[in-house]
Amino acid sequence: MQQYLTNLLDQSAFPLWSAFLLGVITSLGPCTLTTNISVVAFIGKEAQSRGRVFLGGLVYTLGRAVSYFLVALPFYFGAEALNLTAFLTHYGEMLIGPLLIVVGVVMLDWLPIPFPAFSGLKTKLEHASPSSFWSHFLLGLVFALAFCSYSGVMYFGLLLPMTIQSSAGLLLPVAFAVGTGISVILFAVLIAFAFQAVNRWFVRIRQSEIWLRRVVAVVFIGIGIYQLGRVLVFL
Amino acid sequence: MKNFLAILLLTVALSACQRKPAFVASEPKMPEAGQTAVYYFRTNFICETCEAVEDIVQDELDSKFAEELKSGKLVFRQLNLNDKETADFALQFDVVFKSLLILKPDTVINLTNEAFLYALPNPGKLRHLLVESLEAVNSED
Repeated sequence: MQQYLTNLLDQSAFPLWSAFLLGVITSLGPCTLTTNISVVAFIGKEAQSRGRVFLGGLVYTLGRAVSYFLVALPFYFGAEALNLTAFLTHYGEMLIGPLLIVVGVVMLDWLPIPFPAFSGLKTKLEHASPSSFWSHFLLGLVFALAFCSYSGVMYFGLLLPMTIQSSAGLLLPVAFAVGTGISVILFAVLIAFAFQAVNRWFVRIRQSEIWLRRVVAVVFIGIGIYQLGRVLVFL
Repeated sequence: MKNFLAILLLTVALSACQRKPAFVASEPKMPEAGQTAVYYFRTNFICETCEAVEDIVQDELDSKFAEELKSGKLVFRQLNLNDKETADFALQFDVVFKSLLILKPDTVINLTNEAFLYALPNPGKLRHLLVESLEAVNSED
């Protein structure tokens, strides 16, 4: 699949389409795939409503678009931003493991948040209206900044030079974000379809919601431990 | 919670026991006159794609440029960006993350984008590009 997409990218003459394809290719890379699995689980946990899953995926993608747009700004306006590149690419892949573990542990309510500002935010998120997607937005915002080597090269090495040279300019990081989010949205919606088919056999829908949240938390923690283990092997 | 902490500590311990030996980094320096250098700037931590790039480059150089490697006309060096000296050396090429460069004293070819784009989905293309770039650089002599 990646080979097909890279061939398409080679033949593309439209910057917006190239940026979108680059995003899709990036989302299928080995190091981004593992974090995408946890995101699919997070978005798909509201599987009772396919509409909510789809909207959640869109809001998550919007969060990513905001991050990519903001990071591209200094480069687009000609600022010397090598230090920013170095920081994001160096620490991104080291922090993703612990970040996933912390999010999973917080979802299981095992970890009390010590900082008053953050616990206020958590309370707000928990008591937010059912239609609120703030957690999806924040997840997209933060995960977009967790650059691994592969996604770092795709973004800083390929996308940003295109962004600077193209007349479409800062629309390209947004197209890139849509590309990175598409696979997540598709898989999350597929899970929602599958869950709804299975859920007809479950009478206690409320309880399955709680268990779904726990499963998602375990997925986060499991992938976080895997990522952390990979980093520690090299230290 | 206790079980979770136990699993986490076990993972950390197992990772420490299975620690991969640190790669032997080369000294950062420009190639000599008449010499072509293929530099792979990496860090201690290496991802699957990064490893694939390294393996493909090493394999291609060993198979297609064995004589040049033996005579020293061509060198392949892995440089550690976690070392300050290497990080400072890399800055002259605007390199701050993992990168693949072909260097001669007055020529720089940056193959990073193509290397990471093609290493896993289309390694043949990367091999071809590497050989093509090296032949182009050496034909300038």
